[in-house]
Amino acid sequence: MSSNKIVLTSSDGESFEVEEVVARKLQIVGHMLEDDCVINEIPLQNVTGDILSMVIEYCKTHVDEEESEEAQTKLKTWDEEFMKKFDIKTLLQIILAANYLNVKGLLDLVSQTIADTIKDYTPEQIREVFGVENDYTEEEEAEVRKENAWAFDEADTPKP
Amino acid sequence: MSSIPSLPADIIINFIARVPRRYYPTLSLFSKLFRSVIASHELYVTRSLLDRTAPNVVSMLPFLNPRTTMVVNVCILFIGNPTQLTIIIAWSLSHQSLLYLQVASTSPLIQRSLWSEDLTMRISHLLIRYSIDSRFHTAQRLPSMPSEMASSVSNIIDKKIYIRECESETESETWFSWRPAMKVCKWVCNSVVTPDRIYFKTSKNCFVYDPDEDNWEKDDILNSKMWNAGECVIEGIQSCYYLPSLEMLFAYDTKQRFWKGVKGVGRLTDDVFSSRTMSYSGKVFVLLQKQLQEKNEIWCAEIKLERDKEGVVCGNVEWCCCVLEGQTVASPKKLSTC
Repeated sequence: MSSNKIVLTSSDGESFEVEEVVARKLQIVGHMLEDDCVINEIPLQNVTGDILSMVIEYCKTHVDEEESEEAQTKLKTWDEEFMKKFDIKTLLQIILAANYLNVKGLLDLVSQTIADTIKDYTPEQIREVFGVENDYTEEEEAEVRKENAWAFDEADTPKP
Repeated sequence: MSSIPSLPADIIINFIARVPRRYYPTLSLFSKLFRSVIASHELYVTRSLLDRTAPNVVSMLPFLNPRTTMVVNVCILFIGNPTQLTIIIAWSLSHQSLLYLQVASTSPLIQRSLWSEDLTMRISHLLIRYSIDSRFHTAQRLPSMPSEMASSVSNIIDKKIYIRECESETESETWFSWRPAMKVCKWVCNSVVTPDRIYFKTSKNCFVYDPDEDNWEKDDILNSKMWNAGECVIEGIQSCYYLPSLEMLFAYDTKQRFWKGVKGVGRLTDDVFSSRTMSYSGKVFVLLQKQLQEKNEIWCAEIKLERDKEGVVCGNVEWCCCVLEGQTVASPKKLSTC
């Protein structure tokens, strides 16, 4: 049963043959398999091949999650190393894919990584990374700054 | 390449919820979308779903000290699940001292709105009372609060609220009457309400008030230790304090009228400089200020009290960890949550 192979196809036509247990880590696939168990090729329209390969790499590593502390620590280290490979733009694509494919562990992992990354960014840096324009008018921005005046004052003081 | 507007709101919430709240003011400057996410109820629901058992929120608020009219930045720690907020503790960062502000949701001064992290909270603090909106980290004096009310100590016994009011001044002390029928010295620095008594600590003495008998009594044994206010911890135990030099937690037995070491609670952490204790809902929270050479750390321990079969008070340390760390002059960037 577990040796069943399933082919996942990305939006740009790249195909990945994976074991069924790995494919089931993508809950979207899990649900499809439950609805109709004879499927062996699944098209995934919202994910490109390069991102899908990352998601599959994650799922392969997490396929049998052991309870033991040693195994958990090992997985955690792997997660950290895995996340280091990506810049924030790639992380945003992975989070979208993890959301669409419904891989909860990966979604949590990437969310945490993004949170840790952006928290020290200035608004300008965040805008650059996310590729959006500042949508505040000068007056509006001044108002937000005023609301949080204490925080910015603190942040502006030089570190001891 | 993806850009933020194409990210669904639930994904944005998912990672914003994992960013410590002290970064929210900066993040809300990024875009209108981020600001609306940071002000949204869903964000705080997600935060509470992600909640770990240790203290989870540290936020910075400016407080106006009415005596010096100086604004001090106060760090506030919420203990417990934010959806069932129980206690707030505050430190003055500029003075690196515990201001020791305590809020329990049973207090008559605290509105029901304490239940949720994203709602406006009302707290009483020394002589001032603020309304805090924890979403925007803003604190405002409540405008409708009469000044006498703001300096009042109030408690509930038998569904009646007792409010301290100024009555007369003698040479040394100012006396206050309690509505409906109480008298207490002005210099009450602590009070604890048990189901049938109120305990007061003044600068020199401890008093026990029995509202049924309208009777005051001095309690010298209770006075022998520096205790801090809270509430009745468990039946018969009125308050607790932690003595760093002996590494013991003491509890005051109201029936037998003595202080006794709590079984099962020993060393909480090293290098403790001072400690404060408060209790809420059968649990004791011990704040430990550590002073190391170059930095300050504040630790917090949550201890559950119970009586064993023989009636001995036992404590179980549920967690103890560093909740705040800073240099001698702390800046928010240096703070960290658990």
